[in-house]
Amino acid sequence: MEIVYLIFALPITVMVLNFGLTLFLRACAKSTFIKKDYEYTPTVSVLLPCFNEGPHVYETILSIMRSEYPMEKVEIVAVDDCSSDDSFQWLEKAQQDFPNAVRAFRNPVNSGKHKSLAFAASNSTGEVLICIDSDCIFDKMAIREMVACFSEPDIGAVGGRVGITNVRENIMTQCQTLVYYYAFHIMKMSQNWARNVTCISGCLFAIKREYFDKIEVEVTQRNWFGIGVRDGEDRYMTHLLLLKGLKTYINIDAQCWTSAPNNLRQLFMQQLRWRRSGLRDLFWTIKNFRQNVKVMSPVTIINYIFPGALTVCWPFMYIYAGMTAWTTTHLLAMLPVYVGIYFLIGLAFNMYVSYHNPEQKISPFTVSVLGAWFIVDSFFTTLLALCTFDVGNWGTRGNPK
Amino acid sequence: MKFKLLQDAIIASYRTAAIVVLLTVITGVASYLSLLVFYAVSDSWAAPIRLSPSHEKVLAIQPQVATIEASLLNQRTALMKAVDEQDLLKRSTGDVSDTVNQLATAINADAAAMNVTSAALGDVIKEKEAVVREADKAVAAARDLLLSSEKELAAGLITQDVAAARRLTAQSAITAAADLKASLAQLKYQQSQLSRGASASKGSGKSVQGVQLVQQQKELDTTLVASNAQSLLLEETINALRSTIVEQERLLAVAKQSPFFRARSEIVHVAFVPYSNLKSMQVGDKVYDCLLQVVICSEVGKVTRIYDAEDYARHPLFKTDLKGQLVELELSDKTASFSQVIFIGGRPLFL
Repeated sequence: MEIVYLIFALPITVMVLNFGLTLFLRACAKSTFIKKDYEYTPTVSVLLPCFNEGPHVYETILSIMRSEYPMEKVEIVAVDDCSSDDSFQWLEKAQQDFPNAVRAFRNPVNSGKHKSLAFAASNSTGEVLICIDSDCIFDKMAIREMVACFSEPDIGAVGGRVGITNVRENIMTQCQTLVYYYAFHIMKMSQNWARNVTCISGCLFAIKREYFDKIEVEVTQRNWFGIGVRDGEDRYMTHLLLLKGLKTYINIDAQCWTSAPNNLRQLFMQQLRWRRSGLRDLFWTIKNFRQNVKVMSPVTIINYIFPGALTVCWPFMYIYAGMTAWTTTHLLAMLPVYVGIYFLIGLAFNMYVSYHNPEQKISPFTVSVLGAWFIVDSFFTTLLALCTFDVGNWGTRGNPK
Repeated sequence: MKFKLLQDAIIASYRTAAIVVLLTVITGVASYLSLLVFYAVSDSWAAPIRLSPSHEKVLAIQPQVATIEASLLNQRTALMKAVDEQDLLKRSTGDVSDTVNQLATAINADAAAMNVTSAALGDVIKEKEAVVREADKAVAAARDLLLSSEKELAAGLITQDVAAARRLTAQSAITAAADLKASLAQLKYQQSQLSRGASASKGSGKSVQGVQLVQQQKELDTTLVASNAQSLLLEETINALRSTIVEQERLLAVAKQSPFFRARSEIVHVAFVPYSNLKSMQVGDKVYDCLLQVVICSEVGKVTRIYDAEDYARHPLFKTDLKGQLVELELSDKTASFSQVIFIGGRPLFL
């Protein structure tokens, strides 16, 4: 058998097996889901770093204020990171409208999300800190759901599920809807079962203050050969917590909503940022391999190393396939099957969400495009991410003032 | 400070390497995509093939040609033998035919002679019967004489000598009569033999000799028929052999024109041209070889012949199977035969 078949078959096999395992854990293993204590209602500080969000940040604050949680125990600490638009004005409006709950600050210089969070935390008082993104809309039960998960001992951080608001805007948003849903409902289940989620999304990241304080310095001083790193703070924070022997968990009942990128440039920059943070984490894990092995379970180590290694290998597999003309000979010939599989995945997805989250329904035909995006993304984005570790800005929010 | 310098050096190296890698990848991808588009629209490309004596197709055609030649030789030999056999058969058939005719003539002549003789014998028999009748009368008289002699002897009228002489005379007469009857019977037998023999030649089967003659005649006829049949068969065989030889000679001529056959003793430069590109090609078209697949091209020869036979090859980029024909090249730069692709008719991008 040609080695190229093995090279492509191996990761696909792993993905299929992983899908099967996580589906099983989702459906059959009760220990996958934590026992929640809704009686536990600590004080909560919602840390809201903001950059060029405009009036949407006000909507975000409104959604938090509608939470079904004792609002006297909730404070919102918003920090504007030198936005070039009127985001800070909106934060000030929210502060005026909700003087008991909202406090607005502005960084003296553009510092990045991680430093904005640290600044917000230093101006907060809550026992539990919830880090959020300024473009998310919160479900009213989000805070209660997340906080209830801290009942289990040694839970360091709890994440929530991110849904898409602009599902049917175009093909890209539909594809992202499926990916997001799959990531939270299926992909993270094996990590949930092990209580070792490797990356809690920064959209909805709840952490106990004591643990945040322990990792704050490392987060703010994170750099790559002297160049400050501003992306992937959510992944880095999660990893730091795991290295401290703490547990992490995703509560899929804690929901927030965000808009997915609706144009190629934004989507590409977002994916590039995420890919870069994932690859940084991979190399950082390899660099601190001994420490990781001492603290974390083998399953978690595999979850850290394997996907990242595959990600790095994909571009070289494509190059090899192109040079040997395997691509034109086989991949193009199998394209209908490849596209068909994604179509079937879209159908299955629709069948499932019809019962659980009908607002997330998509067109299965458009999901077929996901296959083409995967090829482009796994090649170009990965290579570009590997070659741009020295880039600090996000690229999706414009430039600071 | 030193650490900072080291860090800066690492960053600088990383950025340089990153730029090089990205530029290489972008260039590679762009080139690959451009090549894909180019090959999708180009109709002047051909894949050069360098046929050497050790090429598998060159080696494969030689036993095939040898088989045809051996078969041709066998068939020519068989034809010669068949022709000789036919000549021999014709001569022997002629001899047999003559013999049959002669036998028929002889049988008829014999029958006629027998008839004549039988008729003549019939006359003789009649005369002889008359004589026999006379003899019978003489025998009766002789017998009377014997009786009377005995009586006279007994009476002593005659002597013993006279009696003996009378007995001798009577006995001679009786013996002569018997001889006459015997010869008459013999004559009758001879006559019946002759008449039976004459009728047997007509097929009546009353004479052994006649039947034997008829049998011989039939055997000769059978031999003649068999010879004729064999001669016809030989004629057909000869015709079949001749047409097969013509066909084999044609096949051999075609096989020897193949470039694979010509390459058994020297290197032959050909190019595979897919059918889609063949339409615009003709003998005399110039051949170009390019440095970077499609650019920096130079003239390296011309097309000298377009072969009829269909051939198969793989697309140089897509690696899909293609059908087409071979064209023979006269190359001024032999290294062009090592290229993956050449162009016929003109430079692909006019570069």
